[in-house]
Amino acid sequence: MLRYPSGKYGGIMLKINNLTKKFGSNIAVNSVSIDIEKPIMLGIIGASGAGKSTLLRMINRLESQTSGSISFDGLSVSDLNGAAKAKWQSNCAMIFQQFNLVPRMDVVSNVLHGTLNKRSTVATFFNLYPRSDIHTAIEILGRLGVAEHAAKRAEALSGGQQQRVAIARALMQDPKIILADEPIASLDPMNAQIVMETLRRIHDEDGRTVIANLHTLDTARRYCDRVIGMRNGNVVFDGTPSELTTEVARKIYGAGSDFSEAATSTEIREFNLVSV
Amino acid sequence: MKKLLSAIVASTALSTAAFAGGHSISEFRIGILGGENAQDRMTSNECLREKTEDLLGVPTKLFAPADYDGVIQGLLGGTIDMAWLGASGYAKTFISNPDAVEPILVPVNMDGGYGYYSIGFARKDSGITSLDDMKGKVFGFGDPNSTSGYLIPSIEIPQATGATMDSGDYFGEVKFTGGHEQTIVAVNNGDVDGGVTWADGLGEWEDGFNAGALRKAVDAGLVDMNDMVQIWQSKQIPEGPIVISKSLPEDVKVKMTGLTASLHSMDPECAYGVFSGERLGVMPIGHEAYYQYFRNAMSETISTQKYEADYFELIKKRRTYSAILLGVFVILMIAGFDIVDSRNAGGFWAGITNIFDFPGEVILEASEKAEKLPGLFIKFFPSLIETINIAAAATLTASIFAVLLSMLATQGMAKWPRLIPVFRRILDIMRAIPDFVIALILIFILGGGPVPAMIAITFHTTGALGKLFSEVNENASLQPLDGLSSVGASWMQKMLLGVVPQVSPNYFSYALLRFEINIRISAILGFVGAGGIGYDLKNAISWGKGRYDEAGAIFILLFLTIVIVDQLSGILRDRLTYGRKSEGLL
Ligand SMILES: Nc1ncnc2c1ncn2[C@@H]1O[C@H](COP(=O)(O)OP(=O)(O)OP(=O)(O)O)[C@@H](O)[C@H]1O
Ligand SMILES: [Mg+2]
Repeated sequence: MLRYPSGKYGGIMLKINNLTKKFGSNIAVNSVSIDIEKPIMLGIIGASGAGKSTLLRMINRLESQTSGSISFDGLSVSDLNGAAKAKWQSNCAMIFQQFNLVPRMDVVSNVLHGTLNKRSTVATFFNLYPRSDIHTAIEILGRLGVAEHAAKRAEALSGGQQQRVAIARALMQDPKIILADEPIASLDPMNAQIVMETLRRIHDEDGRTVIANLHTLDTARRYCDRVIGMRNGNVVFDGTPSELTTEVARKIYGAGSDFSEAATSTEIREFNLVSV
Repeated sequence: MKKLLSAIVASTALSTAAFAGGHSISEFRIGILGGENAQDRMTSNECLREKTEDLLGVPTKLFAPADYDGVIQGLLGGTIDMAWLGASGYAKTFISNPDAVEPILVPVNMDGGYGYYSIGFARKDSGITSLDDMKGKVFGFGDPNSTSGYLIPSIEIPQATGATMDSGDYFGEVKFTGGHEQTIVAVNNGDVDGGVTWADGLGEWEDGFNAGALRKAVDAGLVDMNDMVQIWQSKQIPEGPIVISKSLPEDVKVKMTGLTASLHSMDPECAYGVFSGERLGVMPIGHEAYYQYFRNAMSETISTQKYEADYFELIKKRRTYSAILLGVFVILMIAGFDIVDSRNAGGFWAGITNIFDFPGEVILEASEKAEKLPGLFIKFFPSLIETINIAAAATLTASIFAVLLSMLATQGMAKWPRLIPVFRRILDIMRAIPDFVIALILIFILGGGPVPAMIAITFHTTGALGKLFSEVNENASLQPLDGLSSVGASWMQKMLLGVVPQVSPNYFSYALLRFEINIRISAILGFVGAGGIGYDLKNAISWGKGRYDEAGAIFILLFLTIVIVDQLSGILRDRLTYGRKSEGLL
């Protein structure tokens, strides 16, 4: 049985301090401060253009901040460059809406890309990976319920399966923190549920911190321990799912009293596919 | 997991003889999981041993290995015939060998359920009442193979504390006491500040619940539950099954199942000892009940082994193909080289020794007249510009033709889809005729000069770029075209607005590459009368010694030009293909 030392990634501390990002005169993220004291599953919600993706991209250092700072476990993430930055990125996995797998390569090879940071270019060129890495990759696929597709090309899988392969690639990095930018936005409700439950499991079983940008309120309520609402680059809500009332949602989405939750709902009720 | 075992034994000559076909057994061995000291475990199960011996008619033995793994290995190795396992112990046995044992019965709690809990507890007088108070204190697990004494708390406690179970992280120290009874004693003595063990969660705390390790310890007089407080409780854990070796004769299995099932009504006191406390009884249970609970763990392990084997098979096949391909390639190379060498009139190997003579003479002469070089550079610079001009004009003209032709030759973009094959053939033909051949013919017809060179280069480059561009086009998304069509855009508009923005960086990058190539070709064409620096070079070389300084100067000029253009276009192409992404258009 695959046993992940639980809580191995415990005791983290992500501190985001007055983080600001400007694109020209457009302020995408405006002086955002967030503290995360222990591994949690954090949801970020907000209307399109609120700055959610930009915030995640800055945490991963795909994007540099205009001002402010990010630190993780005492490491000043926002100041990293070169090799130190690449190392941070390998500790901070990213999952995308469009999965971003290499479509023509087999599933296991895609998962093994999670180890590229440690591989030489020559080994990469000849597609040579240690047996033990291949073993780990398939074990992770098994854990996420997609091992039977191991030898198929990534493009032959359904969206939900591809997203789980993308999560497996992220896990292959053995990251302390997983950033997911709208991981379920291109999935049907059933696959969306499987993917969200997978992310939740990764948090519960491994104690990794998961930060997910989400488009729907009920998903955030259902899977997250804490929810942050953004509007026009500002954090306008930071609280527990139960504090996320329709009133608060109106504020986040800037909607009028005609705002209905159903508008953002994708939940499948009475449905429980993946046991946790 | 926890608890004791229940089990029974044996078989006998009697049963063998009595029942058809089956093999006989000469003794029956019951395994008892760790938790209490071995003597107590033997005592609690002695009544079962006697009943088994009576029933089966063969000598029956109790085994109480020091740890859980001892029982698991005994079952797997055939030295233990029956035991009461915990859910995780059963899972482990099953995963190691699915054919070793089968679950037959499970003890039922007083509430009718068959779940139990991992319970965290501490001494009342320590002042500890919750996990929060345990921070920095000494924490005790039981046996590392125990579900309630290790597995479940090792998963659920970190979720509650948000920290790892490593010593010094949340707890000051984390120890393994070795078993449930040891944990209880250790907490009671103050050796550890808090620990985990199992209980059914029913009945009174003061009694140590209705069943479980605490109840046993109370009965044994080891602890007074009034000295203890509960500090934590897990989610419900399914009680483990009583399992029996699959290889036993059928009749033995039936008898032992019957004996165990009726133990509670036959001899409640015996059942109390065997099942670790007050129970409603036992009920039949099969693999499915645990398969459900351990579905993830088991299906992962079992199925990934198969998929892993399949995948390695695939890799092996792929490597074999690659090796064959490489082998064929190497053979072709060697064979090809051999043929060329044998046909080479003068003998390649003879000529190769002189290969450095000519450059040697050029370099020698050029360096002797080094002070004249700057003047020569200036003298030949106009010719160089002419050569570059020919290349630039030809590349530009060819690019425009190529864009149009490539679009006309691409599925989904073509204005006249039926003519796609025609345009493709045109591109093929233009690409197939070497620029050198076209130039020779044109010079023959039109006479020397830059114009024939330009036409020749344009012709071939249109073919070459057209092919490359149409490949770029094939990778472009056609969705914007549908969008533009839906608003009534013309073909030209759709190409300009829907295709060109997507493909222009790639177009440009290919055109630059072609420009570099065309500079070289334009210089070479000078040799056959197309003018430019190639013509000067030809004159200098055919003059022979005495004008080698000029040849040297031209070589240097050409070399520098090509290096510079190559570098510039490299930088530009990088910008075009990667620069955009790092600006974050995502
Ligand atoms: N690379 C960029 N260049 C210029 N502006 C950008 C860039 N990336 C984002 N922006 C701007 O920053 C703001 C925030 O964008 P961001 O993508 O973070 O929003 P979002 O909350 O993720 O929206 P969505 O829900 O649509 O994904 C927007 O106004 C966007 O136009
Ligand atoms: Mg976004």
